[in-house]
Amino acid sequence: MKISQLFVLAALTLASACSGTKQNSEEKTEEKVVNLYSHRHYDADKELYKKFEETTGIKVNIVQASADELITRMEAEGQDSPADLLLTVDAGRLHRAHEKGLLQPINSEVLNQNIPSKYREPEGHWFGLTYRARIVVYDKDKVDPSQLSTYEDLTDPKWKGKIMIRSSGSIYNQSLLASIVAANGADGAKKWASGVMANMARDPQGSDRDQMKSIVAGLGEIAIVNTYYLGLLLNSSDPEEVKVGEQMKVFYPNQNGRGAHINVSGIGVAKYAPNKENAIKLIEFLSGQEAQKVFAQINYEFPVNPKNQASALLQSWGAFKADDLNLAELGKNNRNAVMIFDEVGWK
Amino acid sequence: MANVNIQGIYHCYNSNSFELVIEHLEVKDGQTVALVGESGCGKTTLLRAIAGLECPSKGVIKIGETEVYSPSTFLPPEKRNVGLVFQDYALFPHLTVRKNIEFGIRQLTSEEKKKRFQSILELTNMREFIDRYPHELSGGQQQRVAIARALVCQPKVLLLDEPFSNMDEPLKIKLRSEIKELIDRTNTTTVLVSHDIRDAFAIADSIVILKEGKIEQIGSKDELKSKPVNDYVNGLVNQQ
Amino acid sequence: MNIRRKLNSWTINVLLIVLVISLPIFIIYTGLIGNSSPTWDHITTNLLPQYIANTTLLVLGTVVLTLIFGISTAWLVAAYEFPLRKQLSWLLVLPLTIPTYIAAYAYSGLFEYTGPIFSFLRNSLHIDAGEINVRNISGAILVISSVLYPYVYLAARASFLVDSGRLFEAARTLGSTPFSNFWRIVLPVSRPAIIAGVSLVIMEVLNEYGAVKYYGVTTFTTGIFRAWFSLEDIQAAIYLSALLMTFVFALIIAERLQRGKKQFKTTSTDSPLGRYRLNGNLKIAATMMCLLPLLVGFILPVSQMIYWATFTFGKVINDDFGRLIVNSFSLSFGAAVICIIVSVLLVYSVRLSLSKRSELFSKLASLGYSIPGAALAVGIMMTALFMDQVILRSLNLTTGLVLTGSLGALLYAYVVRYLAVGYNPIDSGFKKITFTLTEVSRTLGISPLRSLFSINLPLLKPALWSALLLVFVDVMKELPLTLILRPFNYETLATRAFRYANDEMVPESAPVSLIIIATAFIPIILLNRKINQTP
Repeated sequence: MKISQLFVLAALTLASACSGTKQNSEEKTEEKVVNLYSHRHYDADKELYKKFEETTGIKVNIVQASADELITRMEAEGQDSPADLLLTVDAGRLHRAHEKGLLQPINSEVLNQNIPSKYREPEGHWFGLTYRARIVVYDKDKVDPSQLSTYEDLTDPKWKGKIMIRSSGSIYNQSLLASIVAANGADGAKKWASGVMANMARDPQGSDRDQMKSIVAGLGEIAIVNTYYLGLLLNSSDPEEVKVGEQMKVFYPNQNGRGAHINVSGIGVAKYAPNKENAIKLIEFLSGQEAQKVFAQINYEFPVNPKNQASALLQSWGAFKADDLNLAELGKNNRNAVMIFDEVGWK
Repeated sequence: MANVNIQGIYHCYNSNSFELVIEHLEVKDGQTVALVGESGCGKTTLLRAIAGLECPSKGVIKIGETEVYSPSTFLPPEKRNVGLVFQDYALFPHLTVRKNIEFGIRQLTSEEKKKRFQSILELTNMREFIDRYPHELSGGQQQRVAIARALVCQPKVLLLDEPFSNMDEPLKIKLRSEIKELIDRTNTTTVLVSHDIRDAFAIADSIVILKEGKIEQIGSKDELKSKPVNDYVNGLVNQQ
Repeated sequence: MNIRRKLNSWTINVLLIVLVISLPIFIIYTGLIGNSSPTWDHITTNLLPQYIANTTLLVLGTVVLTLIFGISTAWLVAAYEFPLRKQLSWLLVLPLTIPTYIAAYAYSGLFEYTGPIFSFLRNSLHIDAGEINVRNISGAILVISSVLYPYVYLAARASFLVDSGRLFEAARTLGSTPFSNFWRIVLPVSRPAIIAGVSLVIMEVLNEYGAVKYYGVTTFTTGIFRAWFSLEDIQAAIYLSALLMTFVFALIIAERLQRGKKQFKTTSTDSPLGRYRLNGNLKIAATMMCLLPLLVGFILPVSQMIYWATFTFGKVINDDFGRLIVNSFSLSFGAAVICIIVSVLLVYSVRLSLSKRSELFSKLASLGYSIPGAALAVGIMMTALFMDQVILRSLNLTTGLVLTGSLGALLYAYVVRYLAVGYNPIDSGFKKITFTLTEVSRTLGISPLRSLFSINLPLLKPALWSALLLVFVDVMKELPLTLILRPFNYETLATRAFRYANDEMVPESAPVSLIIIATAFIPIILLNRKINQTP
């Protein structure tokens, strides 16, 4: 290839890049659309959006990135933001977006009916769509479940060298500690974090799935994980992973007290949403019975709509008592929790 | 052809301890002037300033009637029509000798191009290696190509930067007379820079002795030899 | 002193390019001015020592390993004749196609309890050997080095072939052994090129996020994310990146100084060096030596991905795959070409501006490479918004956001980020062409721009091709910028692979990663042939 040809190609690329964006902006005005900034990104979600488009004629445009990045983007875009909706996989991020004034309150009969009040922000700034618990799993051959009781009990020396858990950079651990801050105060939370640190089988690392694998490999006996990761293992396309899942048993902690720590995937309407009506329609659709069935099952989560039942797998783990703490509290305590992790040296 | 007129050139170096100060220097039409001095005396800077590759701090440089450098003008090198031959010849390594020579006359009509090319070929006598690449040539041949490349553009002034520094003595002697002949036959105004006074004696009509940025003396070979203004010039011209 | 004269149009050129490229960086750093942050104390007491220790260890470890891998293979391939030498000489570049975080997942997967090795031992041989844990700092060093060593390899090989070829032959005739020639002549002469390659490695390591996060190694980058997103203190995040950038800037200057002192110039393109013939066991040993990094950096992780893909291929591959490939390919190519054009203009302008200061100044343009992608993305976004809201709107040209969320902004981001990758080979390529060629061309009446096209660019060809290759592959793998800045509904192979991996569905990400590797594979073969063809 000659150098001059390179230049021509570059010019063409640039030209097509610019014309591409022009088309997009024209589309926006002509079509009925709703623009979704999403942290969730499962292939099956797309099927749902397609169904939504078929029934309402509203096209769902998506930008997928991490919630933190999307929030920053919305903040920067300000009034010009094309975002109608923000979808995250934890309440802490929604709370943060709310705190920054990026969301607007929505009052919808349908939503109030579909979603129990503890799963939504009191003024309607955001709505939980699915929830899951962060629980204890254990090796069924090595651990006597009667030894397990509460999150707090995990600091007991009897678990020395047996606990597996991921690093504190994970929002799931941050939310768990935030709920402990809410329950036991900052000092109690710090004691808990250093107590668990002392009992860890190894330095925090890897993912929730990795913790369970390492238990089967014999490195530890119990792990703190989200419910759906066990669901993912049991339904893995890798038969070896299924075997690992089958070796695990679920224990819901604090059943005689505040209940197991839960968190939600949730959604809120952007403050400057250009397509507010369409945005509300999409949330209503996603919280409706039909969508809930799919939306929750994709990722082995619990549907928030009380008319829906959890999947057979989740039901097989038994009913459990969930922490009643309003999820907005998780967001409020998040920063505090991170600093506690840092102070005790939980990587 | 044209004369070169230099007035009040002043250049301040960042690294050197002295400044280049040339109050007046004129190279007459068709004349060959040599700038001689130890390395770092400012002679190359002066040459590059004439070519437009260096920008002095103040002064005026005229080539013919054109002011190429003054407080209000700076003519870039490509507009000055000077021919420059570097110490390392700077032949374009990816082009053949023919392409090297044609490089500066591409914009001419093909007829004119051919005419110029033929006449320079005759002058320089390099028919046998016209389609070779520079790295296939000997040092002397490379120099001939470099000079031909400069002369084919019919420059107003030819600038030679240490043309003989990389050669052994017999080759030097041969090439000095070759260049002298070329310059005379084309009647080109020439400025030569050298640290070796013998180069200047062999080629130049007039010799400028530079020391630490200042002109010590200007004169012909005989004038310098018979009437050196100071010990430095005397030591330089009567060294053998 | 006459200011107008000093500021010639080429200097202005440099100023303009550097300004446009570094605008997003400056916009981020305007955040530095302000009250000292509340969490900064918390970070300095609890976290910073660990960040510094881990980052230093990670950098030192990868530098040592990439030097060993890169130089030894480059030397063997350049100076010896042995079986498979020709094939290995381009195969050794392949690890560059694997995104670091994917390699990290692959290695973890390979050696974990459910991975193929231990599953096989357990199920077929009934040996329960548990697992090997690679998720720690030594594992991170090994994984990162094994995919980044080609930076050193490419730089070293090019230099061995071109710079030291003739010197080496001269030394050979003096009767010294190849080994001592290597230490006494080849290595010193090629040192600038090798250090340029290593500095790319260092910057990649300083930027690394996915792999170190997964392996539980806390570094400056993870610290920046933690400060920004978990501690919600953007100020502290900026302090941390400022520290990191100061370090990178020091590195750039150090590299400059070591290169500046020794000016190795070869006036003409040298003939490639005559290779030693090896015999018997040595021949096999050389092949093995070159196969090792290829095995570690490419064959093992790719095998693991193929293993995963056998489970997930049908599940993941669907009809919009063609579009993903087209998207990735055209974005990478467009960005690479723009990077090269900008680099060439910048380097050339610096040379013509005849000013030392503009050379130092031009280095600012490579700073984008040292900023964590997510932070840079925000800078780009703010720049795009600034242009949309302040400039275009005040001129009444448009309403709403035109640049923001467009491919134009994304391409701009790539150029800011990867200019250094293209700039370095082009800069050292230019350094090898004596500037007298341009000067002579100008005295022959040819304008500087035409001199660029007829003299410099043809001589630069090998450097241009390798710059194109490096930027292309880098953009192909790029993640944070693409994720944040891309338009609605726009996906590339990398974003698709990431979203599976991010959801702990690593096996599902394998087919896509394999396609990234395959897509990057083709231009590597083509370009490598180009590089080898040009003398």
